[in-house]
Amino acid sequence: MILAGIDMGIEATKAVVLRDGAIIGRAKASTGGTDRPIQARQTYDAALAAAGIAAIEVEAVSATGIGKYDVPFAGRRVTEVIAAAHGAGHLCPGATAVMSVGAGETLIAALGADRLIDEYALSQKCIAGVGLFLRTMADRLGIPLDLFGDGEAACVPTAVSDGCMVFAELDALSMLNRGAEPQTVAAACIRAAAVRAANTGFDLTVPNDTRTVLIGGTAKNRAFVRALEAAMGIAFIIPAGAEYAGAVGAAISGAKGLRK
Amino acid sequence: MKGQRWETRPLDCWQLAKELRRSYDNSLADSSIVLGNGTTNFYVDWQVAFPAIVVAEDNPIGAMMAQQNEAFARKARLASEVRGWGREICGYHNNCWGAQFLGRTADGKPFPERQFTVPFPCVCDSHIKRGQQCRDYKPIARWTNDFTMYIGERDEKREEAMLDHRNFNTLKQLNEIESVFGQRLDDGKLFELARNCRLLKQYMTNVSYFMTFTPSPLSVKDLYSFFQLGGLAKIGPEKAVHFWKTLRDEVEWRVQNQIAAVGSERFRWIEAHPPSWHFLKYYRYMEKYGAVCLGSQYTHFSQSQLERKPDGSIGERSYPVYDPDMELTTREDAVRFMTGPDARAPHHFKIDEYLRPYALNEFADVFHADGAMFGLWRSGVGCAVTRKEQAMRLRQAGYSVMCYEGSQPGDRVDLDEKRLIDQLDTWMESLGLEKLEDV
Amino acid sequence: MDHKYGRWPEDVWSSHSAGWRQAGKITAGIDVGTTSTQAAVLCGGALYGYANLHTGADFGAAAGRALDLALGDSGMTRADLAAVCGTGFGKRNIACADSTMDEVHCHARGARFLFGAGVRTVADLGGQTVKAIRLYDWNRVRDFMINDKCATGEGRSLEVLCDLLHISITEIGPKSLEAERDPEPVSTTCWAYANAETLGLFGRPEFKAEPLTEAEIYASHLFAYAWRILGVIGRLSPLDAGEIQIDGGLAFTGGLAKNPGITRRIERELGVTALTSRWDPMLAGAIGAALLAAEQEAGE
Repeated sequence: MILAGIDMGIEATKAVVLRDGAIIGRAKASTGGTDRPIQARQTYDAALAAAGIAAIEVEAVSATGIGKYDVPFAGRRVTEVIAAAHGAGHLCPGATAVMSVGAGETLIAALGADRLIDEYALSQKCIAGVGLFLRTMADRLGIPLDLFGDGEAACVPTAVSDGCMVFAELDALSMLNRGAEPQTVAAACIRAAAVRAANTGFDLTVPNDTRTVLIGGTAKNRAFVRALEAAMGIAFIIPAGAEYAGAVGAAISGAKGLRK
Repeated sequence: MKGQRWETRPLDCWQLAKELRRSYDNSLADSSIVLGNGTTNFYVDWQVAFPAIVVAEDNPIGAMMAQQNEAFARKARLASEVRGWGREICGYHNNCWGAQFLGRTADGKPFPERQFTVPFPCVCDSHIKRGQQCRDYKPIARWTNDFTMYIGERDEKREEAMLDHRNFNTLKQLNEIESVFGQRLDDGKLFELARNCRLLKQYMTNVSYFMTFTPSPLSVKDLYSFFQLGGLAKIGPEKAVHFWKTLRDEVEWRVQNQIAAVGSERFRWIEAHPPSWHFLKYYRYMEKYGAVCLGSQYTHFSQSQLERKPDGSIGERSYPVYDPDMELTTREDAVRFMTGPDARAPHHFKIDEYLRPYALNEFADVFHADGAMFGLWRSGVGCAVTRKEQAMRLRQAGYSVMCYEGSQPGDRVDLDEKRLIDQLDTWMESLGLEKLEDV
Repeated sequence: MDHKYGRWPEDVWSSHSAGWRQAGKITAGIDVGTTSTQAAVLCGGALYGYANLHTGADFGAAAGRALDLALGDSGMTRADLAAVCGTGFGKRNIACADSTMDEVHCHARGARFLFGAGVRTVADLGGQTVKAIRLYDWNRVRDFMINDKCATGEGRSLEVLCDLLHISITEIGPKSLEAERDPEPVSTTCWAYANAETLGLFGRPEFKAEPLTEAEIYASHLFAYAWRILGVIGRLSPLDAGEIQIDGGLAFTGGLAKNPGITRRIERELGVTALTSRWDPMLAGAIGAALLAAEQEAGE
């Protein structure tokens, strides 16, 4: 069975193609605004090309993410929590929970034994934009995102607000103003972002478990992952291609529509 | 209708409700009356006993502004803000008093200025500011009611002292209003009002009780059109009583015949607070999932509360009440009768910081809810106090709870409508519920 | 993330006139903001060179680079400068500054230069802050108001949003004015809310009869900015039965002054037309700093 999934986030669009559960092609591009349907199509085509198959061979295309309604060729749409749950369960069998920290949204879900989701929590407004914050700060400080916050740079815990990413940016600029080194500022930003994202987990009633999968673009940053683990007291399982897990989950959810 | 399980039909008493509302809308513009500002029906009920006094309530005015003309409400809030009233003050108040600062209502007519104000402090913090925006605008008479509240076990001595304080305060107020505005309060009308209020509460409690059935004969969306009608006392309490009796009888018939508000009902949810008044369409959206909302303690509290009895049945909360046939001969009798013998009724659920996180569990149980949806309000932050704790208690008891954010029901600013719809989809999907209609 | 959309064009100019040799005192002002940095060189009250750059991660380097670009190929060097005055968020990092001055006074003085004697209310729409300044007829600040913290970062957020939406920051304003009518503004509380809400306006929302057009989406977003700015101006200005009164001329400075999607909407609500200048409104702080430095030098 060949399935495809598109995860159209606020910053990046991810597309994957699965054959019998294995990823055979994937692609990523910037999401955009009014050009979203075009971006979706182009990213999908790139994933197909990487997979070496034609669109006609795909049995179901499903979309998730903020841009799910901008993917006209998707036959099915699923919300991000469902996509994350499917993705985590597929990439890491035996997972009991999934956390996704993306550019715009953070979510966490406890996976059920006899149903997909036991409970879930979404980031509220004041936890929005954690990933985007890291991206824009990395660009501003001139540090590649995957190295952002790395190293042994000292971090004063309270230097950058962990209550709000907007205040955090202003605090980071103040640190620069007082002559702090870019990687020191980066370390403070990482810590603030991690504490912020961790807040989402407070809404769950189930205790932390060692089989929590971390997905989303921010999982590529080592410093952030370490800080998030420290803030939540969890050692995450991070699948390869964590950034694509949402798209994988969307693809898998498409199988549901096909079963008779 | 796909997934329909029960018959539905519109309410017969809609027409009656519309007529009553229409007569209220006209009453504020009358220049021969003394117009005051007040808070919540029950504290200013006595207005019907005066020949020419109307106490308009700031909250419903602000809510109606939000529902009917958001562009004007926004201008009103800006007018309030540039005078130094914080954006985090209750949206109802910034709407209503912003219009005062603009000097006009949404339809361009002059703003009917208040000649006195009788606020009371409420747990939604910024209601501490209640009555201040009109009081500071012009030097008008101001009285205040106190909130009789304490936490912990019932304390008879304390109850007595608090009730005395509140009742004597009210009596003093009425005396002073008489002398300031030269109008005599008609005690006979006050007795009649007291009796009618008792009947009103009875009928409202009955309607609440009928909504605990499956399918629910009413949804909260219906209730929103009605629950203020009990308080619009100037239209004549007999009319309000007649309406609620009519509604009660019709709802009882609907329950007996399993007539549903939402024909595809398969998911019942409760709330904690009124929704954003400009976005009531989300209730219609949820009907696509076969979901019906039964309301909140807020929509039901003005109609007394229900509780689960030891034998498992559901009935009216058993706090002390006076004998309904108690003889009333003096003004003090009437005031005491209307206040009741329980100082904290019916606000327990709202105020008590220890009780509040658990109060919704009983509410959800009594109304056979499957889940709960809470708005976390940034303005009127007292409304959001303990809301997350309540959500946690409900989740621990096995209910599915969804939270979303907004400014305040009268203030559209922070409500991201698209995101709310997305969150509703996520909520339903996480429970395995797909839409019953084709998208 | 591709930054070509949110990265507004930098600008540099220096005069080739030799008039500076006879002009008397030559001073420079450097305004290091959180997002942009400007330098201005003035000779005898006339503008001889300027630079308007992205600040970047190094405030001190931005200041030095701006000054050198402003001097440009005019023939002047730093040695010709009688005084350099620094202002802005990063003023403590301007190594070459002889003195520093707060942004409010610099903007006020610079606004007089840019917009003439008629300006009374200046709204500085910057990267992180919105400030409103009221002036007396003479060059004296009468009153000043800044946004509360939860409106911080408006200008900066527009850069981020444009990058996400693939719309040039110089085009989003004019495009928004193509909307036939303005929809409700998005959240005005915080740009994080506003951006999130705007990002969600694309696509097919379930509950709207028709989706918003591109112009309407931008309109909704920029209307929110305008509304928030109105609050700052309104708290500073006289009020008449609820309406904000602007006595004398209104002028916009700062980066968002170049966004007609914001400025026109403010003008519309206030019922006024803002003053314009032949010079870039982002230069107000630097020009003012230079002029104040000259006045200090002259012992005024």
